[in-house]
Amino acid sequence: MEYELVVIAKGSDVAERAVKRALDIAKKDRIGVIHIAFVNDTDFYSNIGYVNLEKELEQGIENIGNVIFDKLEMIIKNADDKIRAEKIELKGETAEEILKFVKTNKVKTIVIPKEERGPIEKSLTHGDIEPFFNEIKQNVENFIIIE
Amino acid sequence: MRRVLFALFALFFLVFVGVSESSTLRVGGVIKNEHGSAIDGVEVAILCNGKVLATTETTRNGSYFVEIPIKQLKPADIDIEFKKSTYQTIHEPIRNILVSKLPDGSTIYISSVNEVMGRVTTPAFWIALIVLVMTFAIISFEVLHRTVAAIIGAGILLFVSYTIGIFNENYFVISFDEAVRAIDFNVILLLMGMMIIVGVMKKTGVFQWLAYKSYAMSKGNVFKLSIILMFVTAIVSAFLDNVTTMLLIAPVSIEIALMLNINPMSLLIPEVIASNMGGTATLIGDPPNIMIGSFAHLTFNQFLVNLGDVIFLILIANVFVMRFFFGKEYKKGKVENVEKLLEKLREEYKITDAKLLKYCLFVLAFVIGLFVTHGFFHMEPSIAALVGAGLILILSGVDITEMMEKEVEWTTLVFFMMLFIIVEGSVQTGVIMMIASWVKNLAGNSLTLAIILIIWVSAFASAIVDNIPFTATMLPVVAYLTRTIPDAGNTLWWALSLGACLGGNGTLIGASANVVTAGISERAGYPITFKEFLKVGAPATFVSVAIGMVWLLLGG
Repeated sequence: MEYELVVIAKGSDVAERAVKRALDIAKKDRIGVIHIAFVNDTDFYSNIGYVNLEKELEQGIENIGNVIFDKLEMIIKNADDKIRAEKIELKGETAEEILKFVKTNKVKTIVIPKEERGPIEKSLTHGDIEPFFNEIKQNVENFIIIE
Repeated sequence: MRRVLFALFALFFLVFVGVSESSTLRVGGVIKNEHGSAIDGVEVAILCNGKVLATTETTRNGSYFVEIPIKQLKPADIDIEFKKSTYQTIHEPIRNILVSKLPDGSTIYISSVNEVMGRVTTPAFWIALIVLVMTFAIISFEVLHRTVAAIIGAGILLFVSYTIGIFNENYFVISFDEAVRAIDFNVILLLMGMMIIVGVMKKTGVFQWLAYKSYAMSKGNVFKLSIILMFVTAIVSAFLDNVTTMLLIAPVSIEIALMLNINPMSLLIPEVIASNMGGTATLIGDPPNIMIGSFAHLTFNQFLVNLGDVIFLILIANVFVMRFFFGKEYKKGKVENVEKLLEKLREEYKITDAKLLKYCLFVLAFVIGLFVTHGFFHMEPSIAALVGAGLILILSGVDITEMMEKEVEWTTLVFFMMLFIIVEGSVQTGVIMMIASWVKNLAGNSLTLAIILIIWVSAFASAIVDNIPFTATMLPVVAYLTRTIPDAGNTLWWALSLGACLGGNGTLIGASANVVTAGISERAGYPITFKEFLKVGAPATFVSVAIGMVWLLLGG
């Protein structure tokens, strides 16, 4: 599939700034849809409780993703009602899924909010984010990091 | 006829004369270590001029008994030897022999030899210590999954014992029999029973529904919501494990926080802290309590009566601690359309199977009833949990294969089994008793000092290392202190429970529930860092443990 503008979704302020940046790009390049990708990553869960809660956890994180999407969609709607937000849900390890997504789809611009130590960094071996960013850069036309 | 008479006469002569001239030596006694604990598996040998006449082994309560015919021997020439790896061998003549002539003319020599065997620091001691410390470190720093770490640890102890230990007994840490006996099946079956009950109950959606109801009850007041969520989480955690509670409740709380435009951390940290507190109040609330209850034979009621009230006080105090840290965040929380939010939550978190929930509540009430009365019936709590599990499986009609394969966390059960073996390795080689001696030397005979030491050391240790292996290690230590400190009663067990369970709140890695909560929060874009958690967790732990300590010092 082809995606003109994709933002990786989170609930934090950095993610809001990432969406605002995407809005600027959308307005400038007259892009009608901003795709908001949320990664449902339960990799931190290592079966240490009484019962297996993988499904429940996935459902819970999906609900969180929906709330985050609604919030970001509202920001887009309030800024420009001609621009739509569309949700993409990925499932798996955050960094791996984002890479898989940009490799299997044609993504023109991707905006990634970067935390000091977020799920992307956590899901990478030794937390080294540079090789991950370099690989993303090779697979998209424009790569923007919001810190 | 003559032949028959001759045979009868010969038999009579043999029996009568033979018995009348026979002498028997009977030796028995109890073998203990320096701390007064019975030692099982001590090889007892009766020797005469270096020649072994008979052997036996001490039983689980350290007792032994040998009976040998000593027709041609003088009892004074006979020695006895006690031998066990990691203990100093004792070889001595049998003294204080009582002689008794029986009416049939036979002589019985009776002696009681009770000994205290001193420890020797053998390579086995160091192997057990290294394995114990390494397992603690690997689990605490999550180098490996905790079950893998425990399997490797137990495997090393047994492997060394049955390879090098066969050729040189100084390397023998633990026998297979000792390893199997060390597994506390009361703990394992209690956990398994509860896992089945929770596994069926989670299908009803009741836990998430409770979080939604908390929001509905708070009517949009965030501080009130935080208090309700704390108490709901604490009550649920008193009956479920904390990890399960948080995995079910945290996503709902994050959703509510995001919709209220507040940092989810302001709800999650109070919740997880309350979860660790709630688990402290009951026998089944937290794995350390399950282990303490089983080891010390404490009942569900004893936990509830002795810890329930102080945990309630601690929870109240922590409401104010949380308000101090998150009060500003709570004031920020607002939602434009409360009804819309409630409607959304109601839709997402409804009871998914009302009929099943009714069955579950009935079974849960029945099991709690059994827990309350298990002391009266002298019934192990695991039996109550197993009966409940059986009932819920019949009533719910769930697929048992699916339940056992996909729902019950065998990894947790295996972790406990392996952990018991690792700790037993340390018991057998004297590592645990070395720790017990240190604590005893520090506390002397003062119960006050022992309470302070146990509660604070447990809290501090549990904030850094997993409280399950820590508690498993401390069980024999506290048992020894309880036995030797006058008027200790069960107080030191409560000190261990309060310290080990509440200490988990001290740091982000202090409890598994903290780690999973941080994981969920991170997925929402709000990572809880070690420092952020410490800022709230450390004062909360200090306040909680201080209240617990004062409570115990005042006599609970």
